[in-house]
Amino acid sequence: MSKKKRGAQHISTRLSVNEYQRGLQAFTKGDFDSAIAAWTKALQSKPSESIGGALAEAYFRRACLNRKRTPNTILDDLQSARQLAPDDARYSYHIGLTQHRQGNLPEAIAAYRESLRLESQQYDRPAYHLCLALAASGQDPAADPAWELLTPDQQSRLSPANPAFVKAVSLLQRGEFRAAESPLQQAANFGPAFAQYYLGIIAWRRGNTDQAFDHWLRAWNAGFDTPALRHNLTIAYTMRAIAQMDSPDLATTLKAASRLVPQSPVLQALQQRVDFLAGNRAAEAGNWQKALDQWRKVRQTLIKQNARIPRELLANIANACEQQGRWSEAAETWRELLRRRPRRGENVWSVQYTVQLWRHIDTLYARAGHFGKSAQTLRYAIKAQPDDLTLSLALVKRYMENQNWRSAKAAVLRILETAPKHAEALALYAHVTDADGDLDQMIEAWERVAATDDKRHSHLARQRLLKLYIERGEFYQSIEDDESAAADLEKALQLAPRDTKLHAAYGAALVQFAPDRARAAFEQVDLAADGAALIVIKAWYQVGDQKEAARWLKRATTSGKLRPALLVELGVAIFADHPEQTIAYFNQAIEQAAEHDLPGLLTWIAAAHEIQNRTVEAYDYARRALQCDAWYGPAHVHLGLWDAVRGRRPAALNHFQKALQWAEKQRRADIANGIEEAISLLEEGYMPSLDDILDTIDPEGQDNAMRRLMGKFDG
Amino acid sequence: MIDPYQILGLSRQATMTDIKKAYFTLVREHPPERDPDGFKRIRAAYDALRTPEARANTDRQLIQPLPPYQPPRLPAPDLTFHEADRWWKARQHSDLTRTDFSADFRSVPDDDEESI
Repeated sequence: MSKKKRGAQHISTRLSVNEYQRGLQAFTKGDFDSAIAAWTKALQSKPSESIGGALAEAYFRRACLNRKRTPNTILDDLQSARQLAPDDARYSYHIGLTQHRQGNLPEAIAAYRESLRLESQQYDRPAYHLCLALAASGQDPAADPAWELLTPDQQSRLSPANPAFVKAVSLLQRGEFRAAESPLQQAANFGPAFAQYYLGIIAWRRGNTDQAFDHWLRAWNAGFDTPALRHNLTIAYTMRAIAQMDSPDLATTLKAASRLVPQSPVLQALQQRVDFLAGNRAAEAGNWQKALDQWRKVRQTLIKQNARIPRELLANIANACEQQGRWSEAAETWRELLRRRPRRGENVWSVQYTVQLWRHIDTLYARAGHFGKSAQTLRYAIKAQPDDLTLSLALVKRYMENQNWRSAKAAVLRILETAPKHAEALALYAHVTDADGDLDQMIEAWERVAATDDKRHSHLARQRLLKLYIERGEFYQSIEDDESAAADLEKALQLAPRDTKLHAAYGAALVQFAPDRARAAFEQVDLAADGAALIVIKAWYQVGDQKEAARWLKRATTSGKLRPALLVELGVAIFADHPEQTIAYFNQAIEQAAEHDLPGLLTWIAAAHEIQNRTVEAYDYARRALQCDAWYGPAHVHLGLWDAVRGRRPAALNHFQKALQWAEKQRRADIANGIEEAISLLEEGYMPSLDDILDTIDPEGQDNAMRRLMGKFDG
Repeated sequence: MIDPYQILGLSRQATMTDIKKAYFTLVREHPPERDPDGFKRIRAAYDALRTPEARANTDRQLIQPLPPYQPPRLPAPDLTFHEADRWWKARQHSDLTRTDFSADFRSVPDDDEESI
């Protein structure tokens, strides 16, 4: 042998050894697939009897142990084993068994004979099965040489001596079923299972299906298990279950049947009906959770079976989800129902009904907070019914609820393209522009709504426009564009012609550049209205026309229409430029004030003096306030602060304590907190300020009056 | 939810005309002055079904009954005699009903003796 050839053989042997070991490892673990693969390779690289034997054993074990394999694949494995080890009687024997189980009796007989030929020790096994196969195929096993190899017990089993049994079989073989009934009854003790089964056949042939069912059940319970019995019992169970459709016994029947034929689709469908009905009963009793559980169970089974889910079931699940507040699941289930709606035929859903359900789903999604899905649902509805503007409007509203202003604007503009005068759409567009905050655009949008014939929306638009005109007018005034301000306020006046303060504001806007028109506007002002006279008088002061201011003041006071508080407010407004006139207003206010208003007015005047650095007068007015009401808190606050500034700490603390008592009596925890803060600061050696006290009072709230009373005029 | 169809004595498949007809018949039998509670019940049931929108809303909230059952066509039973059944008892004592054949297994050599 050449060196090269010897080298190749050596490599081949090494490979074979490696594969053999790999196969052995897999075989030991029970992984016969891998063992077969490895040993097949090993055998290919080096043919060997021992590898062939091992491979045959692997095929054999795979055939015997893997029950999930089909009879054909089992047979393939056994044939492979026999091919590899043709002298091994076990493989032929198991081929016989597999063929026998399949009812292939000639093949089984041949395999048993071969096994018997090879077997020298356990010959009774193939002999017994050979005789059994011969008997089953209608041949006389006693005439075969194998019969002599059987034990007496085995021989007795294969040649039943019971005459009734033999007679019954003989009659059955001839098809004389009715005649076989009596011998079968007599043979009931000899072969009870066999007898019960064929008595069932006879009963069924007679038309007595109930009796047949009972016989078959007895045969089954006695261990009789043949394909024909399973087939017949399944039919009998199904017929019984259908007959019990409305009876509570149905559940029991199905439970019993499931042990025998768990995979029967008909019986499974009936079980689903039982569960469906249990759900309905639970829902009718108000137990929606139980109902939901039952219905879900049915749906799961149907999904597993890849079967159609009835619409009734979906509707019930969706309804139960709603009852349980599971909005999202309810919406999803309704959607599934919509997808499965009948689209043709006599039960076809109307477009209106479909759209109504889409809208309901939209509401459910919105409740669940899924605005994206909600909008998507509405888009489906719009697709189904594009001419229905209510759907498009609902979509805009949904976007607005979700503060998705951009989509809302796009959606409403699409509506306005087809219906440019649609009042609700115009109103929604106006609402969308409100979110932008551009006053010009807002006014333009609301003006379009106001111009529509729709009473409700145009009324709403006028109310909104009134506020917007005033807001823009005030803005123009703040930038001293009085002409634009006057134009807006004039428009506002057209919407609220009786608003006296609006007349006053309009006049105030005109006073600088059109005093005559201002005068005319002021003539419309009801001076008794809160603050109206003040606006008029202040306006004249602001343009330096004291004469006109005095004239209007006189008109207001002589007619008794300027309240003392407004006189003080007017004084505060002009104090810096017209101190003498201010003092006159203050005195006039004090003179006219009711007794219970005096402490407040005097304190306010005191604060106004303090702002102007007239501390002596300020102190004096505060003392006068306390003369009217010794416990008046705001006056004590001012006196406390002034005493603190002047280093009179005990006196200041005394005032603050009294102010605190007043605040508590008034149930003004906010003011009390501020005073306590001032006391703490003072006790720690710091100087409290008015801001420390007022910081706790909401500057935007109704307490602005209180802040002003305390001397804070910035509000 | 009370089933308005039941109150009006109708099936779920009733037409709008059926609903109206049933309502007027029942109202004549239960006038408000003689049977105020009965009238209210009938009226409420009618209101729940009187327009397609209301009816759709109501239908959605009602418990849906089982869809009608269509019995399947069952296969015919096997009423013939099977020769093998005669030997059923003998089969019971055979390997045909056995599942464990581990006693038939043989060991394999640890090494491929011929190669080594």
